[in-house]
Amino acid sequence: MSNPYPISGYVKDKDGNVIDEAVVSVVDLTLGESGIATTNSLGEYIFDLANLGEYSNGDKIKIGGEHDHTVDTSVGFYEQDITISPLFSRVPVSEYTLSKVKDLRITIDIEFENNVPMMNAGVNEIRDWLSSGSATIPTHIAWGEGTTAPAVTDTSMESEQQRNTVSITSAEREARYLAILAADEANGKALTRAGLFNAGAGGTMFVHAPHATIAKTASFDIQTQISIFID
Amino acid sequence: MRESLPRMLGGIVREIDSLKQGMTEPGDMPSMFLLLRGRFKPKITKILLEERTIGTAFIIGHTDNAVLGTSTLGAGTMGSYSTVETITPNQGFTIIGKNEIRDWLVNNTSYHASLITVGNDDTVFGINQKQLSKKTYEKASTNTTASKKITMVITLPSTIADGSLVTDSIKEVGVEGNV
Repeated sequence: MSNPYPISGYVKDKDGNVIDEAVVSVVDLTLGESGIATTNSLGEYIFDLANLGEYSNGDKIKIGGEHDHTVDTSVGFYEQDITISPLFSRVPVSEYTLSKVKDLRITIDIEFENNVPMMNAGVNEIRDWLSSGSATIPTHIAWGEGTTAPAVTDTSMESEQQRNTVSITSAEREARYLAILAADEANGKALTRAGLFNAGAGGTMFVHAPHATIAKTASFDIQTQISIFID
Repeated sequence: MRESLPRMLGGIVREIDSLKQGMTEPGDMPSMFLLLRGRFKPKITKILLEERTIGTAFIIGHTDNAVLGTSTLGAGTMGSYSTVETITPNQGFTIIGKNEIRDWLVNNTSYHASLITVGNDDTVFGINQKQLSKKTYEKASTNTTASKKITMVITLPSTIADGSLVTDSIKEVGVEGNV
């Protein structure tokens, strides 16, 4: 019977928060055996390689599906912290057994649903980030007049009057953008809509939201928050 | 002892004055508040599994005295891909995935969808899941886009069925960011 060979560590998310009840797989590729460990409330897991059988010095081990280790019996243990990547989604599939004479190709489609006031252009900017990591977040709120009802295909605001920089906060599944239309701005205008853009002029319009007409005067300002919520 | 009416009225006026002083100062600008919300839903709409045989495109044997699939090095043919399974789940994202998108939107550290992962458990999907139930492998995907759509693709070569995975059985497919 093999001596104990504990493999242990912490499982954390990208922000450094420990994850409890996370499943960590441990595979002895040389033996061809595998097992799992589950983290406790502190995010810690521990797995005794001896549970897989008679391991040997030099055995190739894979931890958590991505971390490699070579057994060193002179040390007798191994520590491996794991940072789990954010899981966007997962889908069970019918069991497929890999073959040594076949390649397997996996294709996944991700699509987006949206309606007014969330614009297609804004969704496609988010798509670009999700696909490549390269896109520009919202930075400005604009206010406008106009009578045409917004449509998801809009890329600019009808009769835009003023555009100001936002401050940004967040909540669960929600990004919040706040800007103020000052008392001395857009006076005399009948404001009917606000929009969220990622530039000081032009740019991509993420949100184009109609609202009840506001007859703007110099006696008040308008504190406007536009949020994007992910369903 | 009951207060007199004038005394009570005087107290109320003093209290109102005090409140007014606390609420506004001379020069404060009244504000109107406008709260607006846009929303969208990302979802997995298709999973496609395809396989192809390696045909004559292989080499076996000793590294110096190999037996070729064909008589000419670099020749040989691969089979064509055929569909194993097509799934149209129309399935939403996890909470953690939605918050990852939110993190990007608010300029926090975030990781876009760059990995396709496979695992060996067919537990039903749950929005609170943070990882594949039994992850066995991950690979960087090739991503392409169309209007409001991303297509991610990986290929697991036949050579991977020889010790690189926990098991050669796949029961779940996932999309992850690459931390």
